Amino acid sequence: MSDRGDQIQQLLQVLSSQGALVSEGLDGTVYWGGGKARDKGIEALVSIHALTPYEENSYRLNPRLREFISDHLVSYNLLTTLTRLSEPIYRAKTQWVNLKVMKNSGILGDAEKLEWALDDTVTEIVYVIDRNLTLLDSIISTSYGNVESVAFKIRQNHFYAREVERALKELAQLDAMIDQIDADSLATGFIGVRQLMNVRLRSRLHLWSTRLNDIQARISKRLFQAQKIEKKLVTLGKMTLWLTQHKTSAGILVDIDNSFPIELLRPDQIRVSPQLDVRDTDPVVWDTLVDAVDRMPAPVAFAPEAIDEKIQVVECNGIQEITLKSDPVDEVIEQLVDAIYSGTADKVSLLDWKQSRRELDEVTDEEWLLYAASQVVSQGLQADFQMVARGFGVHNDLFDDVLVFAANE
Amino acid sequence: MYANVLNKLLAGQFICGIAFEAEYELLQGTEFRAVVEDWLEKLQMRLARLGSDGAFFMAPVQVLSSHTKKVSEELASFRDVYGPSVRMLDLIRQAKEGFTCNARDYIQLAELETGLNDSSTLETLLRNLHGVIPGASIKHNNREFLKRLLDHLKNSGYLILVNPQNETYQVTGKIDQLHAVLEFIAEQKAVIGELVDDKLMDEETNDLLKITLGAVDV
Repeated sequence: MSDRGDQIQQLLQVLSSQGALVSEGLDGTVYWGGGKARDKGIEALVSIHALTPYEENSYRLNPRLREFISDHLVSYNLLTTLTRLSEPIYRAKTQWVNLKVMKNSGILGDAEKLEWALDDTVTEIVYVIDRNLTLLDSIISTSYGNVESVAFKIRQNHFYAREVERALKELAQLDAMIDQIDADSLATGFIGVRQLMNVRLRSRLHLWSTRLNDIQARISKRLFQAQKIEKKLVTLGKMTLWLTQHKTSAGILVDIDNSFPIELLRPDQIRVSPQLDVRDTDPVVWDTLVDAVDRMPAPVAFAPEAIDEKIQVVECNGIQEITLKSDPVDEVIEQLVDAIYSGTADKVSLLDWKQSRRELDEVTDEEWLLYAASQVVSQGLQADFQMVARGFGVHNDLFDDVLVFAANE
Repeated sequence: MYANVLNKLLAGQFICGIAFEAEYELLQGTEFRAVVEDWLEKLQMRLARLGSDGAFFMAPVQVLSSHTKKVSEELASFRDVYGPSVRMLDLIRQAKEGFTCNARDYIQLAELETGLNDSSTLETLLRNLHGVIPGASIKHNNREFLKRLLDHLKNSGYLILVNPQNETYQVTGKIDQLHAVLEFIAEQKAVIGELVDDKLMDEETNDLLKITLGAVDV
């Protein structure tokens, strides 16, 4: 094995034996002082520059190594930028120009080495684009899973929207470079370079730009959705603020017509009482019905009534008369009416009539006069109210007696 | 299954993939939906949807003046009809990092409680809701308060309890109805003038809004 091969083997052995520390370094800082074996491992990793000193007694993973492992694990830090294509494109252009110069100058040995270098640059361009697409796919498909807050997800979305835009511009630069080298190589006879450009780059260019455009569309959609979510939250916050600031307002008066969004109309409940259709002969319905009938209480059996064939006779026992006991006041009024109609009395003072009746002692004069006057009038007699003069400030007519007499008088 | 779906629609419920997963999946099928549509049509009703892929609900075939009146009245008494839920959801938004107030969001009582205990402002806001949250009293501690708040939102159909053991709730598709109402209000020019008076949008109001809007980058 060559010296270089040995060195690579040693390097990989160190990395392999200290895999736990490398993994720790990928997640954060590695601290010195965790035991003799651990410290020895850190020393070994520092010696091959896999760990680089960070602060006192602390180390971080070599950024290049971190990038390599992150690509392998498809696990990226926050706001990991896409690798720029400008630099390898510039390098490829420079190599191509020098390749032409060398061939024209007859320096064929160096020209061949430069052609290999150009090949490596093209390989790097392919790797960088594939890596960028993998990174974008990972970030987008996990909905920026490396952050939790919505606000930061929105920021990441903005960030990668710009990154994709830049990547598309770089693809356009690459396309221009391919066109240029393709035309030059045909003219100058660099068939190998022409093939390199067409097979390794041009044939994949369309696929790359399609994937980038697709990612851009997904990011734009997410941005729109995120803005929508943000808008919803702002509206919610504003409404709460309005409710707080307008404590006396019950609501919002809005003139609306029939074209309002239907979402605003909350559905009213329509009550439904399920009923079985007894005429339905469907086996399920029929069985349910039979089952329901079975569960009903047994019908009460009535004995048939015997029909009496005898002739019906109505027996009458006479009607017992119930004599209502009349009120003494009414009796006195009746006597008065009888007395006037029979002519035994002519013109009778109601007050005098009452005073001669002991049974009316408990009835006041006022009650008597008001009640008796209306009663005698209703029985066809005339009543003459004996008015008295009104005192100062009295507005009602006053009477102290009523004379009752027959209507024809 | 038709009976299940129809009963829920007739009961005025919103059928979304979170609260009524089986019914929602059935309604996604064109044939099943056509049968439901036919049935509702006999009641002068139709199947409506919140947005293009949101919850299904029952709506009238033709919007009548009585429907317009109902919406107007509900907006006129916004404080009583939507106000309690709006204030509660806004409190959750402030107390829970990453809450988008969208269907499928999860809310864990313990997480909400931690967020609330970290901020005296939020605690005051919660305490101010004691007249709004049914059954909540100022004697209750924060956890009991929050529990009642979440239960109220659950009873209103905006949340479902997905894990009783660790008291985790999930936002249902009905939330889109509330957002639609809020969006409609925000779009009304006259109301926006009343809502956020430019003259009032001075520093003081901005500060208030920032406090209320919390984590959102305004």
